[in-house]
Amino acid sequence: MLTITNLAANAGDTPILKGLNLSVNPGEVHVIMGPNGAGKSTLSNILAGRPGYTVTGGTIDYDGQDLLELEAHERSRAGIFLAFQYPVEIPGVQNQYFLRTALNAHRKARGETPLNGADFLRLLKKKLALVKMDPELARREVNTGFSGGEKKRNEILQMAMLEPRLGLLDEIDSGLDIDALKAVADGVNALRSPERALIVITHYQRLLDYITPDYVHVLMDGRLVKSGGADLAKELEARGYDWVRQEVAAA
Amino acid sequence: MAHDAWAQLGWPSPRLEAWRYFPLRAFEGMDPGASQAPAAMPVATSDADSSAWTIINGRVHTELSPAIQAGGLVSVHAHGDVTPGAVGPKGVWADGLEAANAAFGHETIVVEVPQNAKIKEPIRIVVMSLGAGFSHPRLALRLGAGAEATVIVEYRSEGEVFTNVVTSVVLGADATLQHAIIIADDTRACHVEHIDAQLGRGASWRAFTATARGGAARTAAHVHLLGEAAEAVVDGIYMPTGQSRFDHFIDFDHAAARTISHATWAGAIDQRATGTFLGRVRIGAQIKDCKSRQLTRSLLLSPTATANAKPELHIDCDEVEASHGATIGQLDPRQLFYLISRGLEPVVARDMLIHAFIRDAIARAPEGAQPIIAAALGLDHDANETEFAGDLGDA
Repeated sequence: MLTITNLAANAGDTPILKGLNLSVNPGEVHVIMGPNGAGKSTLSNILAGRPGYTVTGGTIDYDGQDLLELEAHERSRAGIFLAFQYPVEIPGVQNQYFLRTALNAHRKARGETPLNGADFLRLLKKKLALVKMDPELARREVNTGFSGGEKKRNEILQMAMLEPRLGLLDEIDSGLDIDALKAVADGVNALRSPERALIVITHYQRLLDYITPDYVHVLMDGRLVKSGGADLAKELEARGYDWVRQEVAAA
Repeated sequence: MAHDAWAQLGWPSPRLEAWRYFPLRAFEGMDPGASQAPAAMPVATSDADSSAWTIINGRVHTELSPAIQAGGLVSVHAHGDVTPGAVGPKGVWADGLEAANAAFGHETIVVEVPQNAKIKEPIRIVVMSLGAGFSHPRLALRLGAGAEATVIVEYRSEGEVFTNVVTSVVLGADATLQHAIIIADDTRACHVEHIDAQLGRGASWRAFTATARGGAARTAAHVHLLGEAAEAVVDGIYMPTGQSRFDHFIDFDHAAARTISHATWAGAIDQRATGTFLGRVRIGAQIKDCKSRQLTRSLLLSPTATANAKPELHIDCDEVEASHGATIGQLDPRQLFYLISRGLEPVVARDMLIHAFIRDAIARAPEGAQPIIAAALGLDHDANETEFAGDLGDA
């Protein structure tokens, strides 16, 4: 589904990614860990098409098309969803209204008729239950006054509504206590499917106690330098990143 | 007398502080007495319009409003020369254009609500300038003691016309007037409005101006809080685009103790347009326990948009609560990207944020006027949270 080849990119004027390679197939959960500044958020922002980043080399193939040819809203409609690390508050825009507009934009792109109010609410109710989110949050303004956990749950709700083929979860666990973490992880697990791939960016192994990865990669100095299974995450938790750095340097 | 005053005062100069951001140079050679009738007269098209009083080029056209019954609260008066005594306690013309309105105006439409009458149904007035040249509409809104009413005035003009309006508001003790002014003119048109409001003891004037469209539009409200505990809430929103200039001036004269003035304005300015708000508050040394609050928020939607916000507080009394604030900013790029990353086209995302900004402002307008204002500002009033609120339980 997604093939990233030798990706080099800047955040602003600073080179961050320096030849990143990654292949992701439907149904797979890839976890990306790494020290701060390595480029984890840069990668997810570039895939989503966020302004302020420039690709200076390499290619990104998504379902046979050059992802970089698509604008951000087109990428969303093509099935890419970014769950933000720091979801922004949008006072004055009601969550439900925003969700319906986004969903209908996706449906229109697929040639489907937009959902009317009643059908949309039925779907929303189902998805709220799926991700165990308080319906009251749907009536409030987007992320406004939401706690950290509620903001992350709102990201998962949106993923549930939009049903992406590739979900990019940028530190979905940051700022959460154990209970909130479990709730968010439950939501993510409820959305796993053979048609959907997830790239989960995290600092901490504990998320992986609840979300079992297929692959764990270490992003260091702008490249994926080491890959493994769930055990790699445990090893990183125990030993840190230095041993990886040494291993890479010796190679 | 008005003719003499016009001859003497002439066009307001930008050197007058109140006119600083609204130059009228382009009109200076023109004769405000001149007007050219339109090729065709409009026909009342909607049910809502058929119950509105229609003023075209300064004259009331009752034949366009078949649902209106003559008499009642609204009457029409022809007028000759008028001294400025009726439009301000000091009997001095505010500027040449106020004098020109008196000199060249044809009719005054008077809304007179008797003492203690509570009129629930809004009284609607539609003012059109058509053809070319000048028109000088005159409106007088008078509420007796204890009366309550809502008046909604819509301005719609077509062509290169100059609408020079004078509105007089006189509120008796404890009267409440809700007053909506909606300006949706041709982008070749100029609108200048002078409002003089005199509030008796305990009276309340709740005014909301929505300047949606026009080439140049200016409203100047001179609010005289004459009786104790009188209250004026003068709010508004303006959304100039293209090269339009929208200018809003308010002068609050606290002439009695315990009077209250509030002004909350929102401006969303696009392309090369300019939006200006000037708020003046005057409280003399002996006028105690007044409250005054001014807040303007301007949203610049393009790099070439201009916002001016200027409070002017002349407060000589220590026993007062007064505050003023002005913010000028742009759409938040993080909010824009959040919406776009969910599949909304950039222009849809932008509109969603702009609508959120102005929806807040519209909520301050008289309820009966809100749908008209939303439509004039291009807001889809239905696609709002009210459609969804409380429905999840039924789904």
